[in-house]
Amino acid sequence: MTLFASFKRLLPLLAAMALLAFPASAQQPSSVNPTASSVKEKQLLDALKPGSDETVAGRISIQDRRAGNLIQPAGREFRAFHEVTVPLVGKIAILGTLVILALFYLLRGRIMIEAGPSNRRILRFGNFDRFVHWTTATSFLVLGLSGLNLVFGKSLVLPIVGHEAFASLTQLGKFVHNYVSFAFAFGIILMFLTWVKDNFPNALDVRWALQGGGIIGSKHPPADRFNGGQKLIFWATVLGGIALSVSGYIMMFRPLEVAVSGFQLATVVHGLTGLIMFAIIIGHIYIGTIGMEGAFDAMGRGDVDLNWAKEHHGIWVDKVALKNPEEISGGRSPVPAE
Amino acid sequence: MKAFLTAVLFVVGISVGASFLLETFQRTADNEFVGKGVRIDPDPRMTGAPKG
Repeated sequence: MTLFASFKRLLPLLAAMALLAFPASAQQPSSVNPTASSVKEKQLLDALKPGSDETVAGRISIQDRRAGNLIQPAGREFRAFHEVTVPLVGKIAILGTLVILALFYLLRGRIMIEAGPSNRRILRFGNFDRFVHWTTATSFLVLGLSGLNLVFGKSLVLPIVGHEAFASLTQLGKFVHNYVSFAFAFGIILMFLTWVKDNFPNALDVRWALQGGGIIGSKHPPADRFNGGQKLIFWATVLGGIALSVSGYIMMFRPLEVAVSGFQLATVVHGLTGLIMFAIIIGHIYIGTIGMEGAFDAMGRGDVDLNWAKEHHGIWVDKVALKNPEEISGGRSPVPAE
Repeated sequence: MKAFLTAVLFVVGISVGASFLLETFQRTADNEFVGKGVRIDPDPRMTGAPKG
Protein backbone atom coordinates (compact mmCIF):
# COMPACT_ATOMS: atom_id res chain seq x y z
CA MET A 1 0.00 0.00 0.00
CA THR A 2 1.34 3.28 -0.95
CA LEU A 3 1.63 6.14 1.49
CA PHE A 4 -1.04 8.09 -0.41
CA ALA A 5 -3.50 5.17 -0.21
CA SER A 6 -2.92 4.88 3.55
CA PHE A 7 -3.59 8.60 3.98
CA LYS A 8 -6.85 8.33 2.01
CA ARG A 9 -8.02 5.59 4.37
CA LEU A 10 -7.15 7.70 7.42
CA LEU A 11 -8.83 10.86 6.08
CA PRO A 12 -12.39 10.17 7.38
CA LEU A 13 -10.98 9.33 10.77
CA LEU A 14 -9.03 12.60 10.87
CA ALA A 15 -12.13 14.50 9.77
CA ALA A 16 -14.20 12.90 12.53
CA MET A 17 -11.55 13.79 15.11
CA ALA A 18 -11.52 17.38 13.87
CA LEU A 19 -15.29 17.61 14.17
CA LEU A 20 -15.20 16.21 17.68
CA ALA A 21 -12.44 18.61 18.67
CA PHE A 22 -14.17 21.71 17.29
CA PRO A 23 -16.76 22.23 20.06
CA ALA A 24 -14.02 22.01 22.65
CA SER A 25 -11.97 24.64 20.90
CA ALA A 26 -15.08 26.81 20.43
CA GLN A 27 -15.51 26.96 24.24
CA GLN A 28 -12.12 28.66 24.58
CA PRO A 29 -12.33 32.40 23.85
CA SER A 30 -9.92 33.18 21.12
CA SER A 31 -8.77 36.40 22.83
CA VAL A 32 -7.42 34.70 25.93
CA ASN A 33 -3.81 35.49 26.48
CA PRO A 34 -2.68 33.81 29.70
CA THR A 35 0.42 35.98 29.91
CA ALA A 36 -1.57 39.19 29.52
CA SER A 37 -4.07 38.02 32.16
CA SER A 38 -1.25 37.35 34.58
CA VAL A 39 0.25 40.76 33.90
CA LYS A 40 -3.11 42.41 34.53
CA GLU A 41 -3.57 40.47 37.75
CA LYS A 42 -0.08 41.45 38.88
CA GLN A 43 -0.85 45.10 38.10
CA LEU A 44 -4.02 44.83 40.18
CA LEU A 45 -2.19 43.22 43.09
CA ASP A 46 0.55 45.86 42.87
CA ALA A 47 -2.09 48.59 42.92
CA LEU A 48 -3.54 47.10 46.10
CA LYS A 49 -0.23 46.89 47.97
CA PRO A 50 0.18 49.15 51.03
CA GLY A 51 1.89 52.37 50.06
CA SER A 52 0.57 52.29 46.50
CA ASP A 53 -0.76 55.63 45.34
CA GLU A 54 -2.88 54.06 42.62
CA THR A 55 -6.59 53.53 42.75
CA VAL A 56 -8.83 50.80 41.39
CA ALA A 57 -11.72 52.55 39.70
CA GLY A 58 -14.70 51.52 37.64
CA ARG A 59 -16.42 53.51 34.91
CA ILE A 60 -19.53 55.49 35.79
CA SER A 61 -21.81 57.83 33.90
CA ILE A 62 -22.34 60.63 36.46
CA GLN A 63 -20.13 63.69 36.44
CA ASP A 64 -18.50 62.95 39.78
CA ARG A 65 -15.92 60.39 38.61
CA ARG A 66 -14.70 59.92 42.19
CA ALA A 67 -17.86 57.90 42.84
CA GLY A 68 -16.39 55.20 40.58
CA ASN A 69 -13.44 54.73 42.89
CA LEU A 70 -13.56 51.17 44.22
CA ILE A 71 -10.37 50.80 46.19
CA GLN A 72 -7.71 53.32 47.18
CA PRO A 73 -4.97 51.55 49.14
CA ALA A 74 -3.48 54.88 50.29
CA GLY A 75 -6.77 55.41 52.14
CA ARG A 76 -5.62 52.90 54.74
CA GLU A 77 -2.68 55.11 55.75
CA PHE A 78 -4.98 58.15 55.69
CA ARG A 79 -7.48 56.39 57.95
CA ALA A 80 -4.79 55.36 60.42
CA PHE A 81 -3.40 58.91 60.49
CA HIS A 82 -6.85 60.45 60.79
CA GLU A 83 -8.11 58.06 63.47
CA VAL A 84 -4.95 57.72 65.56
CA THR A 85 -2.38 60.44 64.91
CA VAL A 86 -4.67 63.47 64.67
CA PRO A 87 -6.46 62.78 68.00
CA LEU A 88 -3.10 62.10 69.63
CA VAL A 89 -1.73 65.45 68.43
CA GLY A 90 -4.92 67.07 69.73
CA LYS A 91 -4.62 65.47 73.16
CA ILE A 92 -0.98 66.50 73.48
CA ALA A 93 -1.63 70.06 72.27
CA ILE A 94 -4.73 70.77 74.38
CA LEU A 95 -3.82 68.90 77.56
CA GLY A 96 -0.22 70.11 77.27
CA THR A 97 -1.39 73.71 77.05
CA LEU A 98 -3.70 73.29 80.06
CA VAL A 99 -0.92 71.71 82.14
CA ILE A 100 1.57 74.43 81.18
CA LEU A 101 -0.94 77.19 82.01
CA ALA A 102 -1.83 75.56 85.34
CA LEU A 103 1.86 75.29 86.25
CA PHE A 104 2.48 78.86 85.12
CA TYR A 105 -0.40 80.12 87.25
CA LEU A 106 0.86 78.20 90.27
CA LEU A 107 4.42 79.47 89.86
CA ARG A 108 3.89 83.03 88.60
CA GLY A 109 0.36 83.76 89.77
CA ARG A 110 -1.74 86.44 88.23
CA ILE A 111 0.21 89.20 86.49
CA MET A 112 -0.86 92.35 88.28
CA ILE A 113 -0.65 96.02 87.34
CA GLU A 114 2.62 96.81 89.10
CA ALA A 115 1.89 100.47 89.67
CA GLY A 116 -1.68 99.66 90.66
CA PRO A 117 -4.86 101.00 89.03
CA SER A 118 -4.53 104.66 88.08
CA ASN A 119 -8.21 105.64 87.87
CA ARG A 120 -7.44 106.95 84.40
CA ARG A 121 -8.58 105.09 81.30
CA ILE A 122 -7.38 104.91 77.71
CA LEU A 123 -9.44 103.71 74.78
CA ARG A 124 -7.88 100.44 73.62
CA PHE A 125 -10.47 99.02 71.21
CA GLY A 126 -13.49 100.79 69.73
CA ASN A 127 -16.89 99.21 69.14
CA PHE A 128 -16.00 97.92 65.67
CA ASP A 129 -12.74 96.34 66.87
CA ARG A 130 -14.58 94.50 69.62
CA PHE A 131 -17.37 93.46 67.27
CA VAL A 132 -14.78 91.92 64.95
CA HIS A 133 -13.06 90.16 67.86
CA TRP A 134 -16.26 88.72 69.32
CA THR A 135 -17.63 87.68 65.94
CA THR A 136 -14.52 85.61 65.32
CA ALA A 137 -14.24 84.44 68.93
CA THR A 138 -17.82 83.26 69.45
CA SER A 139 -17.98 81.51 66.09
CA PHE A 140 -14.60 79.85 66.71
CA LEU A 141 -15.77 78.63 70.10
CA VAL A 142 -18.87 77.00 68.56
CA LEU A 143 -16.78 75.52 65.74
CA GLY A 144 -14.10 74.34 68.14
CA LEU A 145 -16.50 72.58 70.51
CA SER A 146 -18.54 70.95 67.73
CA GLY A 147 -15.29 69.94 66.01
CA LEU A 148 -13.81 68.51 69.20
CA ASN A 149 -16.97 66.43 69.59
CA LEU A 150 -16.19 64.79 66.26
CA VAL A 151 -12.68 63.90 67.40
CA PHE A 152 -13.16 63.05 71.08
CA GLY A 153 -16.94 62.78 71.46
CA LYS A 154 -17.09 59.00 71.10
CA SER A 155 -14.72 58.51 74.01
CA LEU A 156 -15.75 61.48 76.21
CA VAL A 157 -19.41 62.39 75.53
CA LEU A 158 -20.96 59.12 74.38
CA PRO A 159 -20.40 57.23 77.67
CA ILE A 160 -22.11 60.08 79.57
CA VAL A 161 -25.15 60.88 77.41
CA GLY A 162 -25.77 57.54 75.68
CA HIS A 163 -25.99 56.55 72.02
CA GLU A 164 -29.24 58.25 70.99
CA ALA A 165 -28.47 61.59 72.60
CA PHE A 166 -24.93 61.48 71.26
CA ALA A 167 -26.16 60.77 67.73
CA SER A 168 -28.63 63.69 67.85
CA LEU A 169 -26.05 65.99 69.43
CA THR A 170 -23.39 65.12 66.88
CA GLN A 171 -25.74 65.54 63.93
CA LEU A 172 -26.86 68.92 65.24
CA GLY A 173 -23.24 69.85 65.87
CA LYS A 174 -22.32 68.92 62.30
CA PHE A 175 -24.96 71.23 60.82
CA VAL A 176 -24.13 74.04 63.24
CA HIS A 177 -20.44 73.59 62.42
CA ASN A 178 -21.16 73.98 58.70
CA TYR A 179 -23.36 77.05 59.02
CA VAL A 180 -21.43 78.95 61.70
CA SER A 181 -18.29 78.55 59.58
CA PHE A 182 -19.45 81.41 57.34
CA ALA A 183 -19.48 83.85 60.26
CA PHE A 184 -16.02 82.67 61.26
CA ALA A 185 -14.61 83.07 57.75
CA PHE A 186 -16.14 86.55 57.56
CA GLY A 187 -14.67 87.40 60.98
CA ILE A 188 -11.21 86.28 59.83
CA ILE A 189 -11.41 88.57 56.79
CA LEU A 190 -12.58 91.51 58.93
CA MET A 191 -9.90 90.80 61.52
CA PHE A 192 -7.18 90.76 58.89
CA LEU A 193 -8.35 94.02 57.30
CA THR A 194 -8.80 95.77 60.65
CA TRP A 195 -5.56 94.89 62.40
CA VAL A 196 -2.99 93.89 59.79
CA LYS A 197 -1.45 97.39 59.71
CA ASP A 198 -0.43 97.05 63.38
CA ASN A 199 0.76 93.46 63.17
CA PHE A 200 3.77 93.52 60.89
CA PRO A 201 6.79 92.16 62.78
CA ASN A 202 9.57 94.62 63.64
CA ALA A 203 12.68 94.95 65.79
CA LEU A 204 10.58 95.65 68.90
CA ASP A 205 9.18 92.14 68.66
CA VAL A 206 12.68 90.67 68.76
CA ARG A 207 13.41 92.64 71.96
CA TRP A 208 10.04 91.56 73.32
CA ALA A 209 10.83 87.90 72.62
CA LEU A 210 14.37 88.16 74.06
CA GLN A 211 12.89 89.48 77.31
CA GLY A 212 10.36 86.65 77.46
CA GLY A 213 7.52 89.03 76.79
CA GLY A 214 7.76 90.44 80.28
CA ILE A 215 5.86 87.44 81.56
CA ILE A 216 8.97 85.89 83.05
CA GLY A 217 10.36 88.37 85.57
CA SER A 218 8.93 91.79 86.26
CA LYS A 219 10.52 93.92 83.55
CA HIS A 220 8.11 94.88 80.76
CA PRO A 221 9.64 95.14 77.29
CA PRO A 222 8.43 98.16 75.32
CA ALA A 223 5.62 97.49 72.85
CA ASP A 224 3.49 99.39 70.39
CA ARG A 225 -0.24 98.72 69.95
CA PHE A 226 0.41 94.96 69.75
CA ASN A 227 3.35 93.14 71.32
CA GLY A 228 5.17 90.15 69.83
CA GLY A 229 2.88 87.61 71.48
CA GLN A 230 -0.25 89.33 70.26
CA LYS A 231 1.19 89.45 66.76
CA LEU A 232 1.84 85.71 66.94
CA ILE A 233 -1.78 85.15 67.98
CA PHE A 234 -2.96 87.42 65.15
CA TRP A 235 -1.02 85.61 62.44
CA ALA A 236 -1.81 82.17 63.87
CA THR A 237 -5.51 83.11 63.82
CA VAL A 238 -5.46 84.60 60.33
CA LEU A 239 -3.34 81.89 58.68
CA GLY A 240 -4.97 79.10 60.67
CA GLY A 241 -8.39 80.55 59.89
CA ILE A 242 -7.62 80.61 56.18
CA ALA A 243 -6.36 76.99 56.29
CA LEU A 244 -9.46 75.93 58.25
CA SER A 245 -11.84 77.76 55.91
CA VAL A 246 -10.30 76.50 52.66
CA SER A 247 -10.00 72.89 53.84
CA GLY A 248 -13.46 73.06 55.42
CA TYR A 249 -15.18 74.34 52.28
CA ILE A 250 -13.41 71.69 50.18
CA MET A 251 -14.90 69.09 52.53
CA MET A 252 -18.31 70.78 52.55
CA PHE A 253 -18.80 71.51 48.85
CA ARG A 254 -16.67 68.70 47.37
CA PRO A 255 -15.67 70.45 44.12
CA LEU A 256 -15.36 68.07 41.18
CA GLU A 257 -11.79 69.17 40.51
CA VAL A 258 -10.49 67.81 43.83
CA ALA A 259 -9.47 64.15 43.85
CA VAL A 260 -10.12 61.71 46.70
CA SER A 261 -6.56 62.22 47.95
CA GLY A 262 -7.30 65.96 47.99
CA PHE A 263 -10.21 65.40 50.37
CA GLN A 264 -8.02 63.29 52.59
CA LEU A 265 -5.41 66.05 52.69
CA ALA A 266 -8.13 68.63 53.45
CA THR A 267 -9.44 66.47 56.31
CA VAL A 268 -6.00 66.11 57.86
CA VAL A 269 -5.17 69.82 57.45
CA HIS A 270 -8.55 70.78 58.95
CA GLY A 271 -8.19 68.47 61.94
CA LEU A 272 -4.59 69.31 62.79
CA THR A 273 -4.99 73.08 62.27
CA GLY A 274 -8.20 73.17 64.30
CA LEU A 275 -6.71 71.28 67.24
CA ILE A 276 -3.52 73.37 67.32
CA MET A 277 -5.50 76.59 66.99
CA PHE A 278 -7.76 75.51 69.84
CA ALA A 279 -4.69 75.00 72.04
CA ILE A 280 -3.33 78.44 71.07
CA ILE A 281 -6.68 80.10 71.80
CA ILE A 282 -6.81 78.47 75.24
CA GLY A 283 -3.54 80.30 75.99
CA HIS A 284 -5.01 83.51 74.56
CA ILE A 285 -8.14 83.19 76.72
CA TYR A 286 -6.01 82.53 79.81
CA ILE A 287 -3.82 85.60 79.43
CA GLY A 288 -6.83 87.74 78.53
CA THR A 289 -8.83 86.76 81.62
CA ILE A 290 -7.45 85.16 84.78
CA GLY A 291 -3.80 85.38 83.74
CA MET A 292 -3.43 89.17 83.72
CA GLU A 293 -5.13 91.89 85.74
CA GLY A 294 -6.86 94.47 83.56
CA ALA A 295 -6.37 92.64 80.25
CA PHE A 296 -10.03 91.63 79.76
CA ASP A 297 -11.15 95.26 79.87
CA ALA A 298 -9.58 95.79 76.43
CA MET A 299 -12.19 93.57 74.79
CA GLY A 300 -14.76 93.71 77.57
CA ARG A 301 -15.45 97.43 77.76
CA GLY A 302 -12.97 98.84 75.28
CA ASP A 303 -10.87 101.05 77.54
CA VAL A 304 -8.09 99.91 79.88
CA ASP A 305 -6.36 101.31 82.91
CA LEU A 306 -3.68 103.79 81.90
CA ASN A 307 -1.05 102.14 84.11
CA TRP A 308 -1.78 98.76 82.53
CA ALA A 309 -1.41 100.32 79.09
CA LYS A 310 1.85 102.05 80.02
CA GLU A 311 3.31 98.83 81.39
CA HIS A 312 2.37 96.63 78.43
CA HIS A 313 2.10 99.05 75.50
CA GLY A 314 4.13 102.09 76.48
CA ILE A 315 5.03 103.15 72.94
CA TRP A 316 1.37 102.98 71.90
CA VAL A 317 0.33 105.11 74.92
CA ASP A 318 2.89 107.78 73.98
CA LYS A 319 1.52 107.85 70.42
CA VAL A 320 -2.08 108.14 71.58
CA ALA A 321 -1.18 110.89 74.07
CA LEU A 322 0.42 112.80 71.22
CA LYS A 323 -2.17 112.24 68.49
CA ASN A 324 -5.48 111.60 70.26
CA PRO A 325 -5.23 112.81 73.85
CA GLU A 326 -9.03 112.84 74.10
CA GLU A 327 -8.89 109.02 74.20
CA ILE A 328 -7.27 109.23 77.63
CA SER A 329 -9.78 110.11 80.29
CA GLY A 330 -9.92 110.30 84.02
CA GLY A 331 -13.68 110.38 84.30
CA ARG A 332 -14.66 106.74 84.37
CA SER A 333 -13.84 104.70 87.40
CA PRO A 334 -12.06 101.47 86.54
CA VAL A 335 -13.89 98.19 86.92
CA PRO A 336 -11.80 95.67 88.80
CA ALA A 337 -10.90 92.88 86.37
CA GLU A 338 -12.29 89.54 87.54
CA MET B 1 -21.20 94.18 76.24
CA LYS B 2 -23.01 95.89 73.34
CA ALA B 3 -20.28 94.85 70.90
CA PHE B 4 -20.37 91.29 72.22
CA LEU B 5 -24.16 90.99 71.90
CA THR B 6 -24.08 92.54 68.43
CA ALA B 7 -21.43 90.00 67.42
CA VAL B 8 -23.46 87.08 68.79
CA LEU B 9 -26.56 88.27 66.94
CA PHE B 10 -24.49 88.72 63.79
CA VAL B 11 -23.09 85.18 64.04
CA VAL B 12 -26.59 83.76 64.57
CA GLY B 13 -27.94 85.81 61.64
CA ILE B 14 -25.18 84.76 59.24
CA SER B 15 -25.55 81.11 60.28
CA VAL B 16 -29.34 81.08 59.85
CA GLY B 17 -28.99 82.86 56.51
CA ALA B 18 -26.37 80.35 55.33
CA SER B 19 -28.53 77.42 56.41
CA PHE B 20 -31.51 78.86 54.51
CA LEU B 21 -29.48 79.42 51.34
CA LEU B 22 -27.81 76.04 51.41
CA GLU B 23 -30.93 74.08 52.28
CA THR B 24 -32.89 75.91 49.58
CA PHE B 25 -30.46 75.95 46.68
CA GLN B 26 -27.88 73.25 47.31
CA ARG B 27 -28.75 69.88 45.78
CA THR B 28 -27.29 66.52 46.64
CA ALA B 29 -25.29 64.66 44.00
CA ASP B 30 -27.99 62.05 43.40
CA ASN B 31 -30.49 64.83 42.72
CA GLU B 32 -28.13 66.91 40.67
CA PHE B 33 -26.72 64.28 38.35
CA VAL B 34 -29.52 61.76 37.93
CA GLY B 35 -32.60 62.44 35.84
CA LYS B 36 -35.28 60.56 33.93
CA GLY B 37 -34.74 58.90 30.56
CA VAL B 38 -31.65 58.76 28.39
CA ARG B 39 -28.77 60.95 29.32
CA ILE B 40 -25.66 61.74 27.36
CA ASP B 41 -22.86 59.80 28.92
CA PRO B 42 -19.88 62.09 29.46
CA ASP B 43 -17.56 59.18 28.69
CA PRO B 44 -16.89 59.16 24.91
CA ARG B 45 -16.13 55.42 25.00
CA MET B 46 -19.75 54.68 25.74
CA THR B 47 -21.63 53.49 22.63
CA GLY B 48 -25.24 54.20 21.88
CA ALA B 49 -25.33 57.66 23.39
CA PRO B 50 -27.61 60.03 21.53
CA LYS B 51 -25.81 62.54 19.34
CA GLY B 52 -26.50 66.20 19.51
